[in-house]
Amino acid sequence: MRKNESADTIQLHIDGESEQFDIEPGETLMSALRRAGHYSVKNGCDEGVCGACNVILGDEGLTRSCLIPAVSCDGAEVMTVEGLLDDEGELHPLQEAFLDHGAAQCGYCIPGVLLSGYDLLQRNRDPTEEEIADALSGNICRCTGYVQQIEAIQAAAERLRDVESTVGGES
Amino acid sequence: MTPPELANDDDEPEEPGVGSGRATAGATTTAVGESVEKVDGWGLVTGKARYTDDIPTANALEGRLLRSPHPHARVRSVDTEAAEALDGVEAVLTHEDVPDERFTRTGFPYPAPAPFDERVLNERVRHVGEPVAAVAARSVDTAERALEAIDVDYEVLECVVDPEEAMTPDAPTLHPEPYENPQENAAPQRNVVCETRHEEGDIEAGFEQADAVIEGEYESQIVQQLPMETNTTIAWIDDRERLVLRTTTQVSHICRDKIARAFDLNRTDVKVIKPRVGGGFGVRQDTVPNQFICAALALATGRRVRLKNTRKEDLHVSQTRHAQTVEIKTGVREDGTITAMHVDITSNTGAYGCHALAVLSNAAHEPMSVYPVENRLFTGRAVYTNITPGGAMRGYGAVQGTFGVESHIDAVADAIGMGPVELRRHNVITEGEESFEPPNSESKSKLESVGVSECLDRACGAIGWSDGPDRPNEDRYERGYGVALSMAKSGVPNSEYSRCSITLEDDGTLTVRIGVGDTGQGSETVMGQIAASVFGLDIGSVHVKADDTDATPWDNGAYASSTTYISGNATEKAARDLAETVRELAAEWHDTDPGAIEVADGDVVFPDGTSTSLESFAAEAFEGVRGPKRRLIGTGEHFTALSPKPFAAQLAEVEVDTETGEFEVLRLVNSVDCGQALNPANVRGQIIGGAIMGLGQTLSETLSFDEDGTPEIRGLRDYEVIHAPDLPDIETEIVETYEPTGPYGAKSVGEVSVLGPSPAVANAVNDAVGVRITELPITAAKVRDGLEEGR
Repeated sequence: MRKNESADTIQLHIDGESEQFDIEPGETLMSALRRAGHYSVKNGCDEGVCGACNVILGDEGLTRSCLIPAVSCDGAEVMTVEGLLDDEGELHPLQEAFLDHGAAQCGYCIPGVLLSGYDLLQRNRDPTEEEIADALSGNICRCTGYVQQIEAIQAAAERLRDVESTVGGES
Repeated sequence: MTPPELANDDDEPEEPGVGSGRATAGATTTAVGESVEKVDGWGLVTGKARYTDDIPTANALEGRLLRSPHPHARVRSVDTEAAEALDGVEAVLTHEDVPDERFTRTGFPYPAPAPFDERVLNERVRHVGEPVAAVAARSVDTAERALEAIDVDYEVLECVVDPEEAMTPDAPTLHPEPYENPQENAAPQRNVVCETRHEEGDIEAGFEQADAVIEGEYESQIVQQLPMETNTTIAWIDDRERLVLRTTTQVSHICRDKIARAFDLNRTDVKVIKPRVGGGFGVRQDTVPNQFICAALALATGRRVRLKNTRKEDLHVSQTRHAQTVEIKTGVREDGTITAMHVDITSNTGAYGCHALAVLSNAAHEPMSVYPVENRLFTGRAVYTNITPGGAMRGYGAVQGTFGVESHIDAVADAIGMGPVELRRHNVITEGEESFEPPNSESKSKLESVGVSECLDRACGAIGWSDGPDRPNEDRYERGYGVALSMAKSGVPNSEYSRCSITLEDDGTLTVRIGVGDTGQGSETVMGQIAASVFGLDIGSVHVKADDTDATPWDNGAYASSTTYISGNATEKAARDLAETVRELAAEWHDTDPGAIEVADGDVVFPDGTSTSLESFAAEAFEGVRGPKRRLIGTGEHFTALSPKPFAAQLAEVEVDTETGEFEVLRLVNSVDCGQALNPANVRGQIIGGAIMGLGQTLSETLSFDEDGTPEIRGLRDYEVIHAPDLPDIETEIVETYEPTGPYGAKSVGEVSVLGPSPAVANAVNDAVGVRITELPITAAKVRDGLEEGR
């Protein structure tokens, strides 16, 4: 694969903002995002194994951005962990729960783990421990042994259910 | 999984403070003993935390390394002309372009207990993947084309990968030229980095007193730390013409020292920035070739250079856990008293002697300390071979030694018909007894806090040891319980040094400057908690500055489980020094004795019972309304011959399919004595994280090399770590003792729980089906072979 001087351009709707990306031929979505300063997208292996580069990619849902050619994403909606904050910049219940449970140690895997958790909670507001563990099966965390992350995701699910039951089902 | 017993750190108010009018915000989550949120937590969960490569580097040069395809070769010549001629190539370096002086990458203060047996780039390469040349170019593509254009003429040499073979007369010698700083009984001509012997009592007499003598041999494989961020450095020359490294390190000050020495620079002309770091587990204790080479490229070009390992490179060349063969011979009386124990270890240290002696020594001394046998002997040797060098990894030899000793203790119990827990209770170390310290250690070895028996009791209670496991539903399955005890340390005696400086800002907040190497463990949080606690402040009133060698006094950094104990003591001393300064100034203002002033709950309390908040006090001091302007600073340093020991008891339950040998670890109970838990949630995280890393070594992780020394894994997909769905039920019990020499009673917790899973699982498999696995990892195939042998 040879790279040349002619850069391509794609448009992404990323964490609610429209942004133009200059991409190099053959470049992955992970690389394009990071070069543009979206550093929350982590490069843990660049071979599609560790889940640190997870993003939510439009209809595709949870995606390892190191496996996706950036050029194929033109016009797509992309959510990174930075999109978890609400409009006031307040933490998402998942993030709160990770802090409460000591679920982040070095933090390098955390953006990817949070997005795996978010993806699960979009589909399942009352996951079992086993379902959460399965949802994290594509993430490697070398620090925590996952236990506090699973507990945190369960706690966040509970918090989200509580909120929904009080505000009548809005998420 | 057991639900956590976390302290409720939400809105639970502390006991009301003394005095009134305190302006320091929110006294809810001040102190040690509370599971306060990590000081860097918000950045970690929002993705805002900045790791080494998370800064704009659009104009940085890209560094790339040409790595040796041979396990052992002499570089006759390197033709770099074609590479240098490429447009966009700014530098090509070979061994001819780097300092001649040899050193060790090993991350201890100079000179370090390791031979000076390597250069930035070596003329003789000793393992596959060793850097031969380095390129800095204006694009990745150009850098990669430059690598292809470099022509190396290798004289390929005979290689050796097996340590026993490496010590034979016919084996090739890896380090034929004499080097400085050779270690104990070094014989590099026959590839022996060091050879050690340590006897207490009379080992032969001990065996004679025994009713039974049991022997066994236990082998452990090479595994890797595998931090999620690969080794990365960005180096540049700043506007004061100083060399700056922003890098993945857990020892920023030692890194600065080693870089400065290697390139003969003043310490003040090198700065190391340790931003957030994506895990360490020991691999970042050393100043790795990438760090030296990136510095060399920045010095050669005067430009900013980025050098980042790919995951595959990281897996192939990062210093590993050493493979060891542990032979044990134990004499025991019928009543269960162990009369003698001899542990002999051969350690494969690979291409360079970094950590060879220290890991070897630790491998025996820590596990043997658990049983203060009157007559004991440790013999061992570390051997060069043509594979990736061994280094520091969580547990530091004690993983291998504990697998041996704790597997063997079960065999000893079995030989005299005693239960494994009963035998352990009969021999285990108790308070006031001495640990087995290396002969050159000046550590006062009499231990003041020893909770291992209570750990064992609590773990047995949690799992229901006396009842044994439940019967599985089907006859083809068998279940078993296994136990292991372990001990670690709290720093290297007489080697650790930490200094801390704390400023009382004019709003009553504290800036703590200390060079701890937080790579996720929560060191900065714990330092903040300690400083806050001395003043009764909220953790939010403290900022811990730890990421820059310019801004922090010397600290050895994070290894040997030293931070909470050593740096924590320095922080507590600095905080108390500052509090004393506050008292002295307050006494001056109020014309009284400093001893009559109290600093507590964020207030300065006067003898008449009135008080003022630290905020008002600090503001007045700096406004200078009562005298000269004052901005108060306290300092503290810690250096000690002591290294208090954390302990653990770990119990595993397994279920084995007697037809296939497949087995599952159902439960893992981890009962840990770390002294006082200064942050229980983070302590629990350390215990679980260590245990799961240990379980990975037990069940699946292996970094294998073929007979030519070539790593056999292609990438992360071939390196089998534990994933979330693989978890057994994990229980953790924090058994709190009080370490009188620790900050707020604390010892360490970072390493002890990684030690027990391997022997606990091996012992559980043996309990279930009578198959003793003595080689890690424990696989279904090995269990099946054992079952077939027994049939």
